[in-house]
Amino acid sequence: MTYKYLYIDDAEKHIREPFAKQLSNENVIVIPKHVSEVILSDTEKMIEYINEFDGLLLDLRLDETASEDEAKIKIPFTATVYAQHVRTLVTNGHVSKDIPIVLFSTDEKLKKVYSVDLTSQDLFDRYIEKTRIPENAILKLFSLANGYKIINSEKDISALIGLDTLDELDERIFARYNDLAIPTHEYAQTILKDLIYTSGVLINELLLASRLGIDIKKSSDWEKLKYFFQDSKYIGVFSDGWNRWWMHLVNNIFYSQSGTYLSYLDARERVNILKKITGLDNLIAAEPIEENNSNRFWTYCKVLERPLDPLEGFKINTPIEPKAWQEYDYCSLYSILTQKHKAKGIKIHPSDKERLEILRSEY
Amino acid sequence: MASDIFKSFNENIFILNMSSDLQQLGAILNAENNVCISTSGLNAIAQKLKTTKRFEYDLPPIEFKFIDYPKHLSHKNVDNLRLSFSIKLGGDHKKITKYEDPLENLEFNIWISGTNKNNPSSKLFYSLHFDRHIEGGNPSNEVHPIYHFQFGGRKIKDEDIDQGQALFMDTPRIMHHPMDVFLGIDFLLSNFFPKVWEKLKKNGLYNNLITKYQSYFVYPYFRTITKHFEESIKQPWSSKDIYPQLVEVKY
Repeated sequence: MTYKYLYIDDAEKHIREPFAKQLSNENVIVIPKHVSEVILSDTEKMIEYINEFDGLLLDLRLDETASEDEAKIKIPFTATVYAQHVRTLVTNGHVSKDIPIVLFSTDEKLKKVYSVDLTSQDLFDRYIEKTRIPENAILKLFSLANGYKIINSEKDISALIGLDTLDELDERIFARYNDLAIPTHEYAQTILKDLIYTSGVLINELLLASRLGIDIKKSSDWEKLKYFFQDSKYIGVFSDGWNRWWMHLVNNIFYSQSGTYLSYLDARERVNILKKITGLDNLIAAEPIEENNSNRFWTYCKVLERPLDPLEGFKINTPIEPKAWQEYDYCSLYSILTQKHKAKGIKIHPSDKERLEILRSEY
Repeated sequence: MASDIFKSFNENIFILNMSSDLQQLGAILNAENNVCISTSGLNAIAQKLKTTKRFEYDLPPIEFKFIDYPKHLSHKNVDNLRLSFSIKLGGDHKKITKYEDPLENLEFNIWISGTNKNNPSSKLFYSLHFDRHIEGGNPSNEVHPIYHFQFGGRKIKDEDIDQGQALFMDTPRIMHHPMDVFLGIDFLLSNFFPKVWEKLKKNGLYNNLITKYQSYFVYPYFRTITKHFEESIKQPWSSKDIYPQLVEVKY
């Protein structure tokens, strides 16, 4: 299966094309166009694009560089206008297929526009940083296109997220999804942004390790242990791009084998029980990060990527506050004292700042 | 080992930590929106602690809705059953690690009200009162363990309900370890909302919060009683304040 992305940028050909190449492989083909070639007011052509492509990749500032041909056309719009138009065409039923829209920009531009004004964030499914394209960017593009394709023809939530029952989930997550008129991109974004991108009902690998009490680097049986929890793995849409686990199922598996809950135990106790129930020997319990005392881990330091007790951590400020079923991200005191958090662009939540300042003054 | 229990205790940020912890508790309860109607009161006291920097707060009633009714209710046809909880306390947190009584005042109320469908005009009411005895405040001869529960309590008198054949009185005052807002909520969830409590116990953050405040308010209390039997030396906290019926042990 190959998915085709239309990539729109105002940058010159010699910049556009290498980017397109870098984001293409045998599964994903990215086709670059100068923004002046995509005429928003030409509805027929726009619909044609949506039908022809499986995804849209947009540079944020499309209004800076004119076309390199003689016409020198400069477009006065940014990506949000294009994205909004595509979303509207789909919502109004002009086209029966919906596609993911990915923002492709430099961090600097993004901070100036996108992170300040939140009104446009709902338009995009993902953001890829131009200057630091992650290794797995193509995998994410593939997964997004694939997920949209699935949702285009399947709107049953249980089927989409691969759970037999929604009873264990907060009813608010999918409260509005009882109306067939809701377009694919709304389903996709709820699953991506409310479940996959944030922690809460679904957890990522680092959070899984933290809650199991494991030091991943020192535990050569980590892959085998993950396999032990295979039945709790998220297998719904976008699971080909993101590894996630259902926390309630992780709990169930641990409880059914041990008769106790992870939350009752500290890391060493968790690992001792895990060794016993799995028969795996090469599992090492994580130790608290420097300057911390607790090994009752339930989150991880986003900077050092090591397990952390949230009561010893500092909440990270995000543009959007977590919803009731979501959790904060945290960083450790040590990552702040060593200034490592700054390199990751992490800001401390205002509610934790004073506490941090007093602690800092003690060092 | 004993001192280990307070290894994370930092008196300079005790109040700010508590403020942050209250927000965490609020967020955890917020996820249980079917039961806890609004947690804004918790956030309000969290905010206030940050400005006053004093170990004192006054939580206005927060409400919990019963989904499953408690077993063996005295009335059969009950509707709209809900529980309210309020707590007011003040103290000196520096006393926690000295094993002294950390609180100067505490008053905590749980009251439950409902409608009797057989007789909608007659309100159903039950209340529990828990407090720290006000020294010199009540010159009765009955024993007053410093922290005690009372069934009925003032609320039931305030409510002016038809007391019918039920008899209420102040005594016995049942000794119980001190409870702050964290332990108070854990107390009411475990007793009245066992399903929610079971769920929250699977949440490591909730358990870590409860563990922390148990070490502050449960451990020094029972340590004092245990020590009473182990050594004759005077304890930082008088065991007879906690448990007036205790007989002096001499070695």
